[in-house]
Amino acid sequence: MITVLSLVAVALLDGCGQAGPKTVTTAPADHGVAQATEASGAQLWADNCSRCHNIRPLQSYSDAQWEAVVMHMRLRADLTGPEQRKITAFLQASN
Amino acid sequence: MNGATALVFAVGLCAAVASAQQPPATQPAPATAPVTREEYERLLREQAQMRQELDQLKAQKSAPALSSQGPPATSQPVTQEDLEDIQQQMDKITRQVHMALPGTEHVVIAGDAAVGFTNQQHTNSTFSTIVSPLILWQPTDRLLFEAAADISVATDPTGVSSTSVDLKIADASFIVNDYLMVGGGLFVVPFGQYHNHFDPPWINKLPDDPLVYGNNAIAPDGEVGIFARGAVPVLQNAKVTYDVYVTNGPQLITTDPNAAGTLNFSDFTDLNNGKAVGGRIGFLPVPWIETGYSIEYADTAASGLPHTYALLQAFDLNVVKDVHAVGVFTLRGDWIWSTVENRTYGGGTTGFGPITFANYRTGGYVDLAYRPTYCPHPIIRNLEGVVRYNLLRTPLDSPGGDHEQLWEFGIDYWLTPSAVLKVAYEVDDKKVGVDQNAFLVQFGIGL
Repeated sequence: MITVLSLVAVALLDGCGQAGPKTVTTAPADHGVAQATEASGAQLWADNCSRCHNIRPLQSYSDAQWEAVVMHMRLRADLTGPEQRKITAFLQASN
Repeated sequence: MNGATALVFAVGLCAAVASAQQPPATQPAPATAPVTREEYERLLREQAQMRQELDQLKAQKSAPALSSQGPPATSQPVTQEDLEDIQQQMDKITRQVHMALPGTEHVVIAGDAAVGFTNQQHTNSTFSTIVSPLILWQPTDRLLFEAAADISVATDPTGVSSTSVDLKIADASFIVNDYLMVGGGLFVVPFGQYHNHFDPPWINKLPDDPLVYGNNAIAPDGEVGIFARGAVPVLQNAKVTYDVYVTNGPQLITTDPNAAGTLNFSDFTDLNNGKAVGGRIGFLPVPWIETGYSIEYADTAASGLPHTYALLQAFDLNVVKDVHAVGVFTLRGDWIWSTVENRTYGGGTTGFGPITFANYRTGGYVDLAYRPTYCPHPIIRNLEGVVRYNLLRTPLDSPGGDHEQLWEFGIDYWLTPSAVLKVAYEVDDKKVGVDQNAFLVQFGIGL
């Protein structure tokens, strides 16, 4: 079974070694430069959302709806208050 | 009105309107304070007037006549910074008008849905469906109400069909400060990570739940009670999360010959005066790694029966790593230990037993997934391969007791960020029962 999985992995990787355009709307974001306390709203949004699921389009909700959604996610993902405010501000400025 | 005068007037108007919308610093008013129709319409008129003046300023700035005739001696040239400043003021006022709208704007109807097909050995193949609406209502900046239900249909082995609407969440939460929220109601218990983070069909990477959270679950999902939770930054990049709760807790099943010794976690109205106490402590050394330890302790016996305490513990891990030019790797899993005090089940008029066994149950799951997000091919980069290992050990001398391993192999295709088509095959291995390999297909969507 491990051999089969290895072959599948190699097949998927073959031809994919060149970095193509990243599908921002469907793929989790890069986490490499995250700062839990000093990160921007965009970075916090990418870090905290993509830890569990793909990132939803910014246009999914209105400003007021994003407030309710991010407060809901503060409960789910244990965000701090500053993180909640930065993420909300970023989403409201970007939708 | 020349350019400078218009600029001064516009900025002054912006400041006046903005300050009129801002509460005093010493007594902040909620963002959802009621606004009269007249105030709202006045703001709209002022916004339209400012936009008109901004257009005039832009026209004056670009008009050749200005350069040929020269501005009046008292005027100053309008710079791009001035225009951007006015635009920012207008955006701010527009946002304030938008936020002041009364009614339902802070209500969100979201949720998820799934349609599936299962072909499992020794049972009939069947389609299935579930719709789970989620309603969020934020009446103030600090208060949130949540309600969610699972709506589904089923037919039991006797041929009786039914529609079920199971309330899964009905709670209220209040922000105390930046690092503490409190609340109560029927809420998702923060025990492990699966139910709290991963169980919606557009997040769960396989069509079914892990064994430990499935039909013979040994961990809670939703309970009725109160909670406090929050997070605190530590060191430079790390964060500690905490959750504590008091709930009605689970109920020990004692008279069902097929389930004696298991815990019913849907004990919405408590059957004893002992409350369950639990919590979880989580640690994120970096944003892409989260690990945690959960515990719940409860008296599970109904009033009038001998106290029977249960101790549940879990360890969880979630790692999501984006490797540049390779793709996204996900490793996640929960491991659970459940210990219920010894007691005798059945006997008398129950129709079985009496039986006694050491009621220790354990199990868990580990997911490993890979998605080649950097692949230039549009189909391949939306594919994700998943492998899950499940283990569930229940006492072999208990009703339904078994040692079961389940391997699941799946391929997901992401149609959108929140819509996925999943195909999986399960290889089952039971020590006592009949192995039931299965083929599953599911379409899951988050709304």
